[in-house]
Amino acid sequence: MNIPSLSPLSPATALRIEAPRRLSFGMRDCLKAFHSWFRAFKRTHMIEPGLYYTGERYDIAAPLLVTCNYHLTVLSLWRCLRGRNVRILVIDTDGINVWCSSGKGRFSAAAIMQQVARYGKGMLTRGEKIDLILPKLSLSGVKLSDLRKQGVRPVVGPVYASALPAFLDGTASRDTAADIFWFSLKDRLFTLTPSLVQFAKYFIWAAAGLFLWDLLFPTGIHWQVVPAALGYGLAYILLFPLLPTKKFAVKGIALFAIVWAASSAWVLFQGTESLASEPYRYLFGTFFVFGTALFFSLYYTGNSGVSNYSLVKREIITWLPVSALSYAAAVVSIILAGVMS
Amino acid sequence: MIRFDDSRCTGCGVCVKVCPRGALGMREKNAYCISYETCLECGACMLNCEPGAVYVTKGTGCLGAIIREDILKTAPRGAGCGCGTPSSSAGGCC
Repeated sequence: MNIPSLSPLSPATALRIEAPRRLSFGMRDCLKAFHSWFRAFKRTHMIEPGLYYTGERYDIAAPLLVTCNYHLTVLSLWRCLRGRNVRILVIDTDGINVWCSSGKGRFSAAAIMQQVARYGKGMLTRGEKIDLILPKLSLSGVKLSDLRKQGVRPVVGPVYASALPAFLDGTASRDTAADIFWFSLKDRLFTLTPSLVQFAKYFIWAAAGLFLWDLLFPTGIHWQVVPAALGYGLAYILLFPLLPTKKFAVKGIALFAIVWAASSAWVLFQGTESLASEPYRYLFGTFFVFGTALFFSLYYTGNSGVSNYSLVKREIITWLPVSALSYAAAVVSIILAGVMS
Repeated sequence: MIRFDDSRCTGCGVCVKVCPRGALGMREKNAYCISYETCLECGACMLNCEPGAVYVTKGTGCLGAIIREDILKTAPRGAGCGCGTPSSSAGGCC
């Protein structure tokens, strides 16, 4: 990879040096961030790459942080650092967040040095080396030794932006190795709405198909699949660490078992007459929920942030066909339910 | 999949420092994987290991990416789930 070097600047180059800009966000940006989050993290908003500062004026002695140019990330960082005088080097990751862009190699030493070269060493440090604080989640894309070779002294920052104030104050309770991504309830709640919005689109189409079928052969089942799928997804995300094993699909099957056992108990409690008169509706429910249980658990791998590629690949190859078969069985059941009614 | 070449490991500990999940540790001056299920296979350890003592099968642990890259093979390895493409209509996850 070609990394722009930090060689002494010629006078001609020096004339092209750009000025840092003050970073400030308003209500409009909060709405953009909400839109970005609600629209399932699609990269609809970006920050122009470059050097920014948060104080009243540019301070060369202020800590220099590096981040991606995903609008939501920069806004979150700015919020965490309100009232502090820091400098933020926003690099061009094509609007992708730190973790995903570093995984794709866009958040890299080369991308950092490209922005550093725009401003020159004289703008960034008074010393020999440029001290850069990197997000820990960027290290799958940033080779620290490449930065060192270019006159940069990289410092591994915290995983979470919220930990930055303590990190900058030197009062962080964890050292670098112990600072890890937990995928806590807060992290999972952050993924909740985007995951469900992404997931819902499949079931809106399913509900439309079931509605048309219901017009021809009344089954009474159509819109219910949307809240059923979303309810399952909600329960999966909230209960994620409580569900057994670390395998996504097994967690999904465990949740299905709980839902199925509770539903069966309820049906039996109501009496077996309805079960005997409408067996295909119950079969549809069982196959649909089982298929959804597997599909959502596999779907959530990408949004979870704790998925191991090799293990997830194995799970997908094993369980995705089972999910598809279960949906096929649900389709047969609903056809029979309509025809037999 | 993560593998260590103990003959190359210098015990510098950079892999432990850069791991975002705390999946790696040091034992008798050699790095090892404490929990394979905790490892994200992000490749931070492999990228930052100067002696080349760590090998990781890097990939995107995401349904969309695995279908595109490994099952249907309609996208090259590393293309990911569609996020980061020129058009966000691919329904990216980030």
